[in-house]
Amino acid sequence: MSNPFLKQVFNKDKTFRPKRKFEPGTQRFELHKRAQASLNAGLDLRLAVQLPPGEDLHDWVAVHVVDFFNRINLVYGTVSDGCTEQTCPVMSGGPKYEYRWQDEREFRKPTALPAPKYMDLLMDWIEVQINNEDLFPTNVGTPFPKNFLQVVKKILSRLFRVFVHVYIHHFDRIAQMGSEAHVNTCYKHFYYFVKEFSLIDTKELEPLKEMTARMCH
Amino acid sequence: MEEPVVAGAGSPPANGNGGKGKQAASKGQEAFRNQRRESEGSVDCPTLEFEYGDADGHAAELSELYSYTEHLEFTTNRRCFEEDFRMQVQDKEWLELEEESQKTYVMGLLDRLEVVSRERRLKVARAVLYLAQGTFGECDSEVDVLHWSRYNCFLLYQMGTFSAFLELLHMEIDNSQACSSALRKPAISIADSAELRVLLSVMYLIVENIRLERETDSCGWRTARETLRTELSFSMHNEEPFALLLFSMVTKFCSGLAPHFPIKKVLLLLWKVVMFTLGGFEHLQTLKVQKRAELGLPPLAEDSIQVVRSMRAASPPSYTLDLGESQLAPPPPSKLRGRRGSRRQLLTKQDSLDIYNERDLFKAEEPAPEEEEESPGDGERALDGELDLLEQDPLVPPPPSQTPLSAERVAFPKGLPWTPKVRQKDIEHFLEMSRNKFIGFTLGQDTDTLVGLPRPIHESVKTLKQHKYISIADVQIKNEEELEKCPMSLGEEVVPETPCEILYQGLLYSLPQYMIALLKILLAAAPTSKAKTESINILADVLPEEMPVTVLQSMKLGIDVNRHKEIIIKSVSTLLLLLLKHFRLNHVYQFEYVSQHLVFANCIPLILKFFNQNILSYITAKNSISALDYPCCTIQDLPELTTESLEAGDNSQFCWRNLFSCINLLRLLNKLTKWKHSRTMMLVVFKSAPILKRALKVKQAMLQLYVLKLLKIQTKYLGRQWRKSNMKTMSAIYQKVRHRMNDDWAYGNDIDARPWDFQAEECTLRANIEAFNSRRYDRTQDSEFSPVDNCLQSVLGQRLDLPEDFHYSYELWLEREVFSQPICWEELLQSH
Repeated sequence: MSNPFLKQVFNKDKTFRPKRKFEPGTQRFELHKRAQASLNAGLDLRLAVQLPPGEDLHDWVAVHVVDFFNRINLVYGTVSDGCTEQTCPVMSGGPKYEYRWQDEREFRKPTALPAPKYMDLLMDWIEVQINNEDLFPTNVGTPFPKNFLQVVKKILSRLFRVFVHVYIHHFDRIAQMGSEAHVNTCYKHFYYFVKEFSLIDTKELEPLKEMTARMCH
Repeated sequence: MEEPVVAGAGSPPANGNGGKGKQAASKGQEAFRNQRRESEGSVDCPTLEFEYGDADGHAAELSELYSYTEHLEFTTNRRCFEEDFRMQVQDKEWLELEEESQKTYVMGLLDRLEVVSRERRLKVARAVLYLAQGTFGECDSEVDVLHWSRYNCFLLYQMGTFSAFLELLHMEIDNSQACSSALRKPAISIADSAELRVLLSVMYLIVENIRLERETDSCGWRTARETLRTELSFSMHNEEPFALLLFSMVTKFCSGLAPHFPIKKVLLLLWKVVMFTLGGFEHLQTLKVQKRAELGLPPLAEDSIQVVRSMRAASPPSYTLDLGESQLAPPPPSKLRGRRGSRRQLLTKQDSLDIYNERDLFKAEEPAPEEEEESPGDGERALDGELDLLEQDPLVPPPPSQTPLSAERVAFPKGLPWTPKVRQKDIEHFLEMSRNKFIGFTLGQDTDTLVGLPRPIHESVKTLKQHKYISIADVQIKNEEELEKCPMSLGEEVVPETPCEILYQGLLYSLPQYMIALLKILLAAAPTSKAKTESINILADVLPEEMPVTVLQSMKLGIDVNRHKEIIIKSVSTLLLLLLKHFRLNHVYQFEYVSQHLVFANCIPLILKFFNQNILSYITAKNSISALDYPCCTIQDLPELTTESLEAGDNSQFCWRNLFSCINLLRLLNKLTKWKHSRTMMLVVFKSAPILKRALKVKQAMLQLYVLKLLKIQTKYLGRQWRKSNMKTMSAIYQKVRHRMNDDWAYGNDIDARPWDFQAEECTLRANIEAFNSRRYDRTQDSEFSPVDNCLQSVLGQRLDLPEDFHYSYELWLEREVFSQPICWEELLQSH
């Protein structure tokens, strides 16, 4: 982590805020822990994420990142009309975790923002990264940059926060719409992937730890 | 549970009026509409029980022929008939006559039709019209009128009335006196088209009554139907097909040379003739199946008409985020006005249930018992039980424990309505990508060699091939390429002389003009077009001679004018759709020719402009006065005109013709844009997405399907934000529109990869079309492959038939045609 910018970002205590004191579990935030439905396509996702022999690691990771970005964007889209500045005035994952936004432009200091605003900034930011030809080269033969995996780690950590928020705050909506199995499957796929290549810090995974243990055995 | 989510969806003016800024024909009409809208007062449009077909019910189709201003003419026709009949037949009524005597009388009528005096001829024609209208003076009920109308029309046709009227029509079209007097008048009214209207009405009634098939039709009637069909399809007595005559009337009208033509009647007749001769939608489907079999293609996976019929409507997407659309939201229902919170609760409820509504589509096939238990789970019921829902505490969301979360609640649809399809091109594209990646070079169109590709790619190719679909058009394009390549060895192509082929040949040379004319009329009739933009006056056959003086009269005229326009839109939209569908089946380049001219004439923005109105109110508009509708108006005495009588007797939830027109226009737009990248980009450029999304408010499965298709093809260009905030729409697309494998419509990361060059794409297409047209229809080309005679002696020795008076003017001819034309020898060399 030689890049000072990245250093600042990965100093998670700035944007990732576990609170020391909080009211233990109201019913509402416990809902997601019952999540279990999954789409069974006769496919072991844990095996599916492994790097196939002869495949380039960076290629493999890049394709997955773009795919997860698209899918998670849609997952949030399904609950987005129930996620407003009123319902979620601060981007968080239950009462214990709060997320702050920080970027190189408007929000140079980590700032607490309403969830929809946070999501907009997050998705826009990832889109910029993905569309950056230097970071994600589209031509066969163009090499990936040296810091590629670092940027990917940051993208995936941020995408994970979308899961955290959706599961903890909007799981009722997911269940009501009957899209639980789709979201769970997407989550499992994501989780196995980041685990396989150690792309997200364990601390960042904390908010959904209990659910993950139940879902991804 | 939360702050009002509909805050953005605009609070319309408190009085509920003027929420939508659409101009109605008159102030009375506007007031009348608002009144209705208030009384309707539902949060959301209910699912519309609409069955799509070739046309509306028989009575409705007959009724639309007449405008309400023409109402008095029913009596005139009757009087003309009775005067004539009394002179010929004593002591008996028409219906009491034996069939033989009826025939004798009709023969006499047709004889008297040939008198020189225009006035007397018109009277006889009116007598014929009265017969075609069902001799209603002798009938007691509407059913009787319709029955005898049909009977008389068959009789009239069998006695040769149609051809007699065709001759009169020819005469009347060429009647320059009528044209010039109409051109001189400052204001044209129905009086200027009296003769034409009678002629066209008789012909329309004959076509429409004979077209209608009934189980009980006698053998003679069936034969008569087929004879008429043949007569109309093929040129009779070396004349052009009848449809072409009507097309030329349309262009003449649009060019301003004949402003008195009753254009609505011309269009209705044209539509019906085309439908009768080429066939309706069911017939098209049969033809398609037949044609695929002939070409040796596998049968279709499903009958699209059936699939669409069994689809259910989805709830409209929410509008909470679309501030731009707020003005268009319908006014809140009056009874709920005091309880905003409640209504919002109802709205959110409705939205959150979308997935269940959509899933209903499968309910029809297999009613699952457990679904009955999810009481608030059905959108329709949620609406029916509006009050029940409101009595629940509206501000607290149902406690989570009440919503079962486990998997068993979630019943997934067991299948999608459409089988996925893959084009040959898609497989080639996929293989090209894979080869590029794994072996570093491509093999062109070879889709069988899989050497060097990993197993998963093999599997993908296998799956793709399993779903490969070859369309009739693909085969036709391929054939055309070959014919183009080797004109000599393949010889002349045998083109079957189908009615469709004959119509195309007839239309070919002035096709652009015909299409422009139809679109001009469509534009003039669109409710969104202002009086200023109307370059042509389409109201000549609805305006009375004297303008109304009372409020009621002008209300009536307002309704009449709107109805008139609606009927015109209905006939033009259906006509265009039928033409495109038939030509596509006959030969894809015929279809491309017509559609390209529609695109060049700005058909795409025109349709989008049409939809840029409050579609829900267009579809529920009630521009009809049932007491004045045929056949009712011929039986009952007209009640005194009051606001009530204008409104009485119609409680349908929607206007059939308007919903029909909307669906047809959407289908037309789909036809024009499908697989055409540059035209799809026009949808994006003209910002069609919000317009189309608004149309989803109409809960009718077929209409929604065609809107969703149009949204799907442009989804990838609308950006991630749009997709994120339109997940309802995205889900609906996923569920209802056919899947194309390898089509990443929902993600679209390859936007930059596809340059958009409208000119180039259209030019390539145009070149193909022109090659096709000139190969097939350019007769002068025959000489191209015969040896050129370049011997001076023999060329000069050829006999040329010159007109007798040629020697008087040959000097002038030489001057004009030979000496004044520069000869470009270089050009001659270049082009050959």
